[in-house]
Amino acid sequence: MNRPPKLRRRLSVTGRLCRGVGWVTLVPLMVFAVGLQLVGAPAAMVGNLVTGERADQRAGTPSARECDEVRSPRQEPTSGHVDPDGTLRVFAIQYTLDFSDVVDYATWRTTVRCLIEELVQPYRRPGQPTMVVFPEDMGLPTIAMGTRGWSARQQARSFARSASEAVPLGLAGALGQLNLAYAPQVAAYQARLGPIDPRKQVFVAATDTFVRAVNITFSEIARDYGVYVVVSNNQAAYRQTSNPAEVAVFADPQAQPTDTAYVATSQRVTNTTFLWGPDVVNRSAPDGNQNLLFANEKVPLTPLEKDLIGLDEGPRSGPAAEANAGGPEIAGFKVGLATSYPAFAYGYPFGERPAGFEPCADTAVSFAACQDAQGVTVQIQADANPGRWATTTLDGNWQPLEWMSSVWRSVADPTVGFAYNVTPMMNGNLLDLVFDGQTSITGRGFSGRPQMFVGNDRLGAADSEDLAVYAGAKQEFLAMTPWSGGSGNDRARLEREATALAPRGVREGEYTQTAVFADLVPKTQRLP
Amino acid sequence: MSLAEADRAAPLLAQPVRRLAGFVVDVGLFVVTLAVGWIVWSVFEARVSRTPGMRITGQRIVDVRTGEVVDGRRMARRQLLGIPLALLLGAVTCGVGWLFSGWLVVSPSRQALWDRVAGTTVVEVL
Repeated sequence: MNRPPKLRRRLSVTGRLCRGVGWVTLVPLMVFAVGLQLVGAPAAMVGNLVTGERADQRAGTPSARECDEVRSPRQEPTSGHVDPDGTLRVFAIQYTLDFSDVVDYATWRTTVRCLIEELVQPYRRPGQPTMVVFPEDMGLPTIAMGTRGWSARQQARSFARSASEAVPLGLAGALGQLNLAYAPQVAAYQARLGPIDPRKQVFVAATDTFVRAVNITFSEIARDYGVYVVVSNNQAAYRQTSNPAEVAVFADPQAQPTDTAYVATSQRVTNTTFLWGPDVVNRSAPDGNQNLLFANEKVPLTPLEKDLIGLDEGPRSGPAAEANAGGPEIAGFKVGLATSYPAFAYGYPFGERPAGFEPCADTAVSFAACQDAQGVTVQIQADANPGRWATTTLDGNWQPLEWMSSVWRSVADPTVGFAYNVTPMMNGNLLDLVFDGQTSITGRGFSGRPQMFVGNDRLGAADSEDLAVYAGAKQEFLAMTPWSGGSGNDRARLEREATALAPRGVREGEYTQTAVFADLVPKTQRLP
Repeated sequence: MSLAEADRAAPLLAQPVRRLAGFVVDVGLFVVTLAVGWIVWSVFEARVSRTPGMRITGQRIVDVRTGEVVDGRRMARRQLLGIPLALLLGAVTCGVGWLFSGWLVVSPSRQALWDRVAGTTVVEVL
């Protein structure tokens, strides 16, 4: 018996066009995606089975040859300020962001351990506690790790890496790809914790990867090297599980076969800065948190963090906010974490605290003042300036001058008593997005060689009058990295250099990777 | 039968845009009713060969060869086998499979992946 033909109706011209576009885009993408799943993840798994080790479970110190392979071509030796009375040597690492560092857990681990081996270890003083501070968003590139980040990493090396800083289509494209790559985890978390804001869902979905790449990697560094480590990342709180169903869904394919997964416990994604110590303090904590001394949730957030990626703010008021602004005692100092923007938040102009001012009433307005009220003496300002360094901000101010209202104000403003500010700056181009800036350590009452950030010799015509106090060379700088684009105070020339370093510039991505250190002395820790 | 002849003989197959509208309405109802309401409504609508979204947007599921409404078994094959298959395809292909499954609607027979699994298509109800 003949079967009747299918019901058919001709497609319109638009329909045929859509069909053609689908054939040339969706079908190859399907083949590619299936290939990734059929070859990539199982290949990693088979490789792990054959070698008996997983990329996320390496041990030991990287060799000099391994460090040669991952070192930034523009890495400069560490410089710093030595004080024989210092009880704590603090290093601020100016890391240059590079997607080739996050091919897999092994390359990432080697990269960050080589930073310690080359920029910290040779400069440590035996017997003296050491703290290593990495920039803000240090964990961000690890979201593009492994097979799931392959297309984003390829994009970063291709013509499609950037559109413009104003309209970051390259970044949006990469986020789209990552959402697709993490789709199974996104779907699972949406079902479990949802509805989750689509802007941040990929950060929830990447929890297992973040825990392995950030929490475990850096907590191990703290223990192995016997140092305090500060690292920031946008991630959710997590728990550890050995439930086979959860392991199958949530564990990173690069880590398979494994009997452990790290699962987000809430859909809340905060810009969290972690401080790990050299010793275990909580044996019952999940992997990566057993030597965690303190974690700060960023408040206030920048518009980019709030509007583009939908992050959640830390507590703004009450005991939780005060605890968030405080910190642990280390080597005679109370260490507090102010992750970039919060270090600018005083709630009043330099030196002009209003009568009756309540510093912790709303930390979104006055986080730095609240931190001072908690008795913090060392303000750690892990930082990533999402823009060119030598440029004019939307407010019309010269950016390096504006930055003084955090790194220098904290040790110069008489209304607060911070003794030190430590600010490592992320450098590098993340697709369209530029990260640029000078790393510094400042100390209250320090009378060193006067120094300043580039272009800060004077108050420019367009600069706000409020910034006048920050202009000119200052003696409070214990250490400062030179700017990757050059030196001097000719702002027009400096802006041209910043353009050269930005995406598609003539010196694209040629940022300097280095570190500075300083010995912190307790006697200067509080003003009377 | 030529395609032109098939055009004249065929009932009014639902255009991809209308299919998309029906899908969006179904998803919206699924979310708004926390799944439960949509599922209960779907059971009633399945008896007349459509989903709640299709009812609102004026569409009906039919056999791709006879143009007749389909029975409960075919509806179940479409909804409980075809759609989960598309979800699975999406999950193992970084989400591209979801787009691919839907994009198949842009064809002369207007069959998405789940229609191909069940031998159905969708027509507009005038």
